[in-house]
Amino acid sequence: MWFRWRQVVGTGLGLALLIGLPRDGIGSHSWGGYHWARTSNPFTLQLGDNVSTAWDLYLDVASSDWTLSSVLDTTIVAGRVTNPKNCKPTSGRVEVCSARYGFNGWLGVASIWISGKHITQGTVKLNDTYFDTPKYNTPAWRLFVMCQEVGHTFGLDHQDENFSNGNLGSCMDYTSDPDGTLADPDQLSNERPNQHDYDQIGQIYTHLDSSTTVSALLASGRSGGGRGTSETDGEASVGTGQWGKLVRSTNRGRTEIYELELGKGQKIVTFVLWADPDIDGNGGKGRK
Amino acid sequence: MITVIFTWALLPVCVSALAGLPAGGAKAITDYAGLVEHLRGAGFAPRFEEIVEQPFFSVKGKVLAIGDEHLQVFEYPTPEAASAEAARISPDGMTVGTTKVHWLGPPHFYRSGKLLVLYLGTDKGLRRALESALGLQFAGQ
Repeated sequence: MWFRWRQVVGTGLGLALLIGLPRDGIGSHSWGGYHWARTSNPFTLQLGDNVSTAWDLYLDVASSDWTLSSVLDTTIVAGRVTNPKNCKPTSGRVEVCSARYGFNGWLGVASIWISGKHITQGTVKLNDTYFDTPKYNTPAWRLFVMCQEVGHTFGLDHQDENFSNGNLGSCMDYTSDPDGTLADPDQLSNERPNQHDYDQIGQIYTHLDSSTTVSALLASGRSGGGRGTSETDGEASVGTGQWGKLVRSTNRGRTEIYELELGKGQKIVTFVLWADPDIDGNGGKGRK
Repeated sequence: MITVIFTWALLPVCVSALAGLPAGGAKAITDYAGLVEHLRGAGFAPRFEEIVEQPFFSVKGKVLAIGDEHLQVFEYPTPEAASAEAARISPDGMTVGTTKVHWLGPPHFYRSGKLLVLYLGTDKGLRRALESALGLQFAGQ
């Protein structure tokens, strides 16, 4: 009888230890299998810039870093949020916001909206209430948190959630020492993604979907770390190439229809009504 | 004999954990005033600091400062409402619904009656006091 109890207790302890072990960077850190639906790789996800100038550099770096993934590109576009405190989402993209959200215990939050396993929109909030304090107003903390929150919106979970163990060298690893300079001089920096993050993204997006939840980028935007122009940037000078092939032109060229093939039968149709050349004086072209 | 002692010694802990009851068989604290009273009785000096609003919770909370530590206390209209909100929190305390939260410190979530209490920190004495009032944490690190 005693022997059997020892077996049971021993097995239970073993299971508890296994369950309690931190993820060490070897296992999966997909967030519930959530992913953006898309019909081809690599796909480009727009990051709406609704952050203060203090964050611009870190948004640029995070965008560039995540764009190193072989299946995913990010491009920074003009934000569509009127009030960063609310940071309302925009379908098909991620809005990144910064504001003073109060002493509520968090540095940042990443939210996704889903349809089944498909992410349809996302937001990131960065809490300036804390980032305006000396402890967190450092490049290391800003880069770490920006990188992690943006990473969540792709469907990534944490690699590890222990605040006080050694750094894994990934921004998806919780830490109290983002740049790894406090205790151990050989400590890794957790300010940016590591190879395991890129591998995980590759696994999440290995398959293709029959439809897309990602907004198409209609206007020019620098992939990976630049301020792009979105379709909301009405005054931006845009070419017509990004709309695809001109399939119809009527009304002496003032009304045009373009089609952009996305593959697998998917395409974007853009209707353009050019401004009256007699009014704007420049022949109309160059403005939507 | 050892087996019997072992089993009976663990039973109250297991039952308390499963039922969310405070350890030691004390009466469960189910509202804000009761929690404050309990913490004072345990030797702490909690003081109301401010209202806190979380984007992922449906009610506003009260921040209780206890020395350098802080509790966020959310009181719901009914125990069922508190339970429904608690069900959206992942076991590790890092996710609420489909929102990932970058906490300042290790989260510990407790629920009892209409109360949902969040403690971010590592103070063992405070955690013991919360367990005695609210039962074992249902989510957290």
